[in-house]
Amino acid sequence: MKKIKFIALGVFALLVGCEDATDIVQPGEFLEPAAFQNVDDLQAGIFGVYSSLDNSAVISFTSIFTDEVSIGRANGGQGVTNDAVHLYNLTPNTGAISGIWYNTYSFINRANRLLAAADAITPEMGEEDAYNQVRAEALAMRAFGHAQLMTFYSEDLTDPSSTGIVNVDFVPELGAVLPRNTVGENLTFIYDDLNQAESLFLGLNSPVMNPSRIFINEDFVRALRGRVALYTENYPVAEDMADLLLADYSVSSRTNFPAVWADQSTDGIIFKAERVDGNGAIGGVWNTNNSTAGGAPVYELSREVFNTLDNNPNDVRRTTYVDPTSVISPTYMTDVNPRFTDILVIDKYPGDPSLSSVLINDLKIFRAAEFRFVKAEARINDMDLTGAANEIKAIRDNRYGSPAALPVYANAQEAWADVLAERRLELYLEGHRYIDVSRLASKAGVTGYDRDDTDCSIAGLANCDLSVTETIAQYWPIPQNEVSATNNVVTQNDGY
Amino acid sequence: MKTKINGILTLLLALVVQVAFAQQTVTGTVTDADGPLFGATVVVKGTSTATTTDFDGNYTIQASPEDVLVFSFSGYDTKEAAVGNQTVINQSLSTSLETIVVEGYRTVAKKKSNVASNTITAEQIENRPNASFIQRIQGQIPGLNIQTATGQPGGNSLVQLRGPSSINGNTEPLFLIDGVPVDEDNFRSLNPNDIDTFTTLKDAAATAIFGNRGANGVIVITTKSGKYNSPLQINYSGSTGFASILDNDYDLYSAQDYLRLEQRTGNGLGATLTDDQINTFTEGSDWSDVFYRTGVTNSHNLSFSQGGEKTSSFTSLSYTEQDGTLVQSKLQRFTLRSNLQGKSDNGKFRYNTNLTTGYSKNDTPGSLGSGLVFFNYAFGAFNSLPYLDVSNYDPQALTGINAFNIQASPFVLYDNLFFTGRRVDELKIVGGAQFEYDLTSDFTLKYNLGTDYTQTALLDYEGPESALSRVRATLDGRTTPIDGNQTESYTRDFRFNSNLSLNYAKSFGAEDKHSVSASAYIEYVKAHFKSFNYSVDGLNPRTFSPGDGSSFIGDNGNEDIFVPTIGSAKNELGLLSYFAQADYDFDSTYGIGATIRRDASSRFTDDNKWGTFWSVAARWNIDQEDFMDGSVFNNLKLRVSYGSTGNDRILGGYYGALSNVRTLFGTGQGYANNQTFVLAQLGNPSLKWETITTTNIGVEFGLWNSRLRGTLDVYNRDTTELFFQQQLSAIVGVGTSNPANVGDLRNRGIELSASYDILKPLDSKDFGLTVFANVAYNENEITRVNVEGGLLDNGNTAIAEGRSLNEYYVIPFAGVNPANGEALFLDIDGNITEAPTNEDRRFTGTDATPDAQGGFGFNLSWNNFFFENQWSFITGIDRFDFDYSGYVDPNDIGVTQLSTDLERAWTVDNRVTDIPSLTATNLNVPNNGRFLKEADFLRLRFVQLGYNLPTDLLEKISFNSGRIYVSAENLATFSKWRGNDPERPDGATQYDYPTPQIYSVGIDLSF
Repeated sequence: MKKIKFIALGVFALLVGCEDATDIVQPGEFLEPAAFQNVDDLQAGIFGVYSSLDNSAVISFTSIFTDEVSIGRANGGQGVTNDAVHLYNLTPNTGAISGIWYNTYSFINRANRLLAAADAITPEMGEEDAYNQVRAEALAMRAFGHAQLMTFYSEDLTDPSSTGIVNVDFVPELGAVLPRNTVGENLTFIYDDLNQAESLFLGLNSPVMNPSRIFINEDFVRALRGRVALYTENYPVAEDMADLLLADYSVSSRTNFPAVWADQSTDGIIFKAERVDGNGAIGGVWNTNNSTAGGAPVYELSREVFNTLDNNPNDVRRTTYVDPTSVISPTYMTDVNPRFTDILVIDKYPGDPSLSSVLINDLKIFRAAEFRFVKAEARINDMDLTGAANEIKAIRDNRYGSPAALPVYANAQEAWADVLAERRLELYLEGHRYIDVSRLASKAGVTGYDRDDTDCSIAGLANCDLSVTETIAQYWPIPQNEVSATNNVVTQNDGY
Repeated sequence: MKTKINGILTLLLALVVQVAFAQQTVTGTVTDADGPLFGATVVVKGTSTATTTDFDGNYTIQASPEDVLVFSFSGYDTKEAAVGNQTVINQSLSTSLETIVVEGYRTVAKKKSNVASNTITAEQIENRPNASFIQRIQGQIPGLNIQTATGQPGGNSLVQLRGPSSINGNTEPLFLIDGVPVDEDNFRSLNPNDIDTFTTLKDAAATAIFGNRGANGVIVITTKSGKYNSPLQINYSGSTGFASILDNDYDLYSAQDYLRLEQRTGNGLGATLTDDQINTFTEGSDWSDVFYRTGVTNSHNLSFSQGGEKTSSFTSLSYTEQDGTLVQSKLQRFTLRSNLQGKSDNGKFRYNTNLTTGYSKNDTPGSLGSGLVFFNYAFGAFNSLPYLDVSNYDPQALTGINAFNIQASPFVLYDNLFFTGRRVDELKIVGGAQFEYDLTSDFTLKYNLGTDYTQTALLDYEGPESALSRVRATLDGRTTPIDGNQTESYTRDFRFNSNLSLNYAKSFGAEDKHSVSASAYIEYVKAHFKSFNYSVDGLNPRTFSPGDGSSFIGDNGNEDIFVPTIGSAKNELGLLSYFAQADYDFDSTYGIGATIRRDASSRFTDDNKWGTFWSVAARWNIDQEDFMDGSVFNNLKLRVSYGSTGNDRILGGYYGALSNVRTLFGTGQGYANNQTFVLAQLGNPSLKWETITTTNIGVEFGLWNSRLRGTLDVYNRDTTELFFQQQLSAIVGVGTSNPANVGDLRNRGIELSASYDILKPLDSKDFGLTVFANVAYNENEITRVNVEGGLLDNGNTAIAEGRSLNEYYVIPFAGVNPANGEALFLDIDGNITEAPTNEDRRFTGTDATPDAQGGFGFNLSWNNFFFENQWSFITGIDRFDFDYSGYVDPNDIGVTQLSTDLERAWTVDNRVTDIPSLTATNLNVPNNGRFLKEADFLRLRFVQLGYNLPTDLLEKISFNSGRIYVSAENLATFSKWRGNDPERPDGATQYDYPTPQIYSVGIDLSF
């Protein structure tokens, strides 16, 4: 009997001590209910939304897919094996396409989580400004995410009934699936967010001071509205926004231009996403160690871009975009192996010298120069070709060593062509080339991409210049994973 | 101290007592049905006088006429004989009916065991040169697949029983050493010579009782122990070995031929040389000799075992030092083991403890298998330009970033040898204790307790004076131009296991023909992990010493790069289980058994936390039936079992997926250096166990008094609720997928193992010859994938319904176009194309998992000589040979070493060939099958020739027994695979460190 008591006691002791084996929370777990509790939390949380505001993948993909870069000396198969984006291999399985789609929706999700949390929080006295500012920033970023997706993944930006992307203004559950909205619905959604954000910003008692240009205020909202309006050919709105912005921001000067790219000047910048040590290094897309000939360039300037720049030695973009250590072979067309004898090192993103890590630069999202082009396009659309020429000249005056001649356009097509060509130089490696060719090539009478034959032979590409009539030059496919995961509720784009 | 003195006193007393009586010398031979027994114990009953038999079964002992001699041997029934006036007593022992099977929580008489299991013993593991005991077992157990991806001494192997049962989850068996569950990936700090038996439990009847850890089979290892009433026996074994790399068949270029290739194609050095200069070119190194070497192994093992009436012990010490074939790879290991057992006077209380401590130093070069050309020695060995000469190494030439191109990598790697290192020091302690108390004659209470403790310290450094450090110091315009980096990482892993059980056993009826047994258990498992690491850049060369911090530059205000980065982690997990088993046997002829188990895992929540696993089994010992009287079968048993097991390690790693059921936020550096928090993980509360249901039918047979013996098993294993990535829509916001239980797969197969004694020796002068073989065939099929189209695309492999797991999914290569030298492929309609797309991929019917695998060989003995060999084979494995892909890549002309296969590349004069033109533009078609190669192999895994030292010689030097031997591992390999080693567990290989060939000589002495 004594024994049995002893055993019973032992078993009991074991059972009591056993819950610690089955109910374990790992050290450092930060559970959902503890996350957003007050306005301070929202203010901390908004930096998490900001940190995924990013266009580096768009910049990277655009440069490699279009005619901005060529295969570099130290290229180890990037762009030509596996995804082979540089060889115009663009499919629903292309990694970059999937990455941008998924990452942008994650970014939108962060904004939505913050907005949903804000809805459940009532600001206390004195917190209203902070509360409203955070909401305005989140709304603006949600609009930016949707605009970025709509730009690349919708079939026809100029047709409101065309298939667009999925609008998301809530926090979905695991396994949630929604069909695509139309471009028109996307536009309404984006404009709604922007309008709300703008009125919140304008209603703040103390407006957002933004000397570093790295925070969102009403100017970001207007710039985004202007860009979206331009892409969807709503020229009056686009021009209104351009006028508003250009009243406050001027095109960066020739003197400041190199410093702008080394992040030592904010001249001409409306908004840039700041990148510091520990963040992604945008310059690493093209260069491995640094932006010099010995820094193992993976991609180099496309010969066509270089030749255009090189025609005007006084153009500050020639010296800013091309590193001085570049090895320029005048006979590159006949060289035995031009990949190793003609080395055009990209220096537009040389790295911020104040950082420890190399090749990190802020991502310039909106610059004043872009809105000169916006205005120019609006002018052409109104058949005011001189007005358009004035805008182009305003940019060139700040790039060439001396005032540029006023361009003369015989017809709209010439004007469109000049806008497209100048955008290619001014907005080089800023993520515009793909959408610009898609939007403007037919208006400008341009076939499509303009690669150098030597570049193409280095890459092993037979079909050198991709025509804009090809689907892959007009819009991107929806990632296969999205189509599969939703069981075709999210439909694939035509032609993919 | 007191016990020791007592011991000595007892010994003295015994000697005195012995002198006091009239003694006579008794000699004799101990035999069994097969011949002499080596190592049988002969004890004078009630005294400590004892001896063991030699190789011929002979013994000599002093005894008085009134004494009784006790003859015993493991696995045999003990016999006694009164001395009387006899001076010669021969004794024949017979195999104990109670040959036992260790089934993890209990042991069962072989005849009464319902489970599918295979056991191998110490002899099949000992005296092999491999430092990892798991690698020694390769090819010896049907259905147990062991493949090793590295030549690192003591390196980890993939161990898989009956095919992969999971996609993301753990697929390796549960390992128990003396009842203590241990880490299945780490045996480098354990001494292979301590192992006594190695039992593989395969079917649900055996593994269901391990519940959520038994899904992939269970391997039960027992270590050696002292026997009660046996004299002190001291064993020494020592060996020396030499390991070398296995050559590859890529037909790589010589220096001159390579220069000619360069000259022809206008690349590299060759393009600048004339024919005469090339013909007289004499420089060039065999870089494989620079980065690979003959690795020397030395191993010493000393053990002591003895036992008295109530206690017995086994103690062992070992030291092993093994150089890997790759430079800077090495294992140094010291182990100590102490196994004790004892019992109370009435035998009702029994206990045993097992404790082993191992300390190993592992020099393990990093970056193996990677394309980090300045860090991977394996890359340098076989991919360096053959005309580069190591004698031209000049550290000063490695200055400035321009000196660091791929072509210079052999010199950079060579430079690393002087300045860099990577070492893991590991302390491992495995301890277990078991206590048993007979409450009544029918009830026994048992308590098991076990711990597995592993502590590692990693040191990885690159000295400030290395070429890479020097160039990094100049890269970003530092004010302090110094680099060099050092990382140290500490981990501590403690796993605790506690098991209490109440056991009942009773026989009744006429002649006790009915017997029942039943047990109930409570088990508690808890594990704790802790890690800490730092990494620092900037080491002052004046004070730099690896592993020391004197040289750290630290934050100097100018350069943040000198600020160390640190990391820290802590995890825990737990399991709680209740389970029971019951068995009924009738006359050792019919038996049934059942188990049931309820498990809770800390990985799951709410309703999914608890899982129930069970099994039923039945057995028929046909040989016991009357109608079998006079048949050739002395053993014929039929087994059938059905049951389920679970896998809670759904993400593979022991500490993986610990909080996947919860939505978590993470804090960290946000935008513009502000602290923030973001969603880190979207919880999936519906996660649950993967469940594996196994049906097994087996036959065990022994013919002609077990001269032919073996087992045959067929099985079907269905895994349901497979855990893998479920595709998600982007709008969910957490990426492309999230883990969920969304698939099913099936493994089914057949296993056969058999041994046959062709010649049975009557004494050691005769020939003895035994042949043995085992083969297992496994078929793996995905039966459900919950994605659109039932296909999860992973590039060149896919997971699809009706296909094997990770079956290759490629565009077939169709040769070379004679017209233009471009590569040709087949499109999805079977037409030839030069420009295929991903839509042209198709299933190949092949994968990286073996179809059939096994081993065979024979053991031969004659006149003190013995010879054994063991072959192993695997069929049905294909793998991407990316080494070869690199060797025939024309882009690498002038950059890295190549295969002379390029000499037959397409040209206008050589149009019919298998190698495309050097200027072909479509060589890089993604996911093409050109380099997917068959890797089936047959390998002479182990061969040994030895000699048992003659008794008269041994007696002169007062040894009981001794043997010397030479042995070799991987002596010969037959395979179409062109790389160094076909025996890898992965689907693609490039720049890897292959397993070696090892020769060794050794000696075993016992006294």
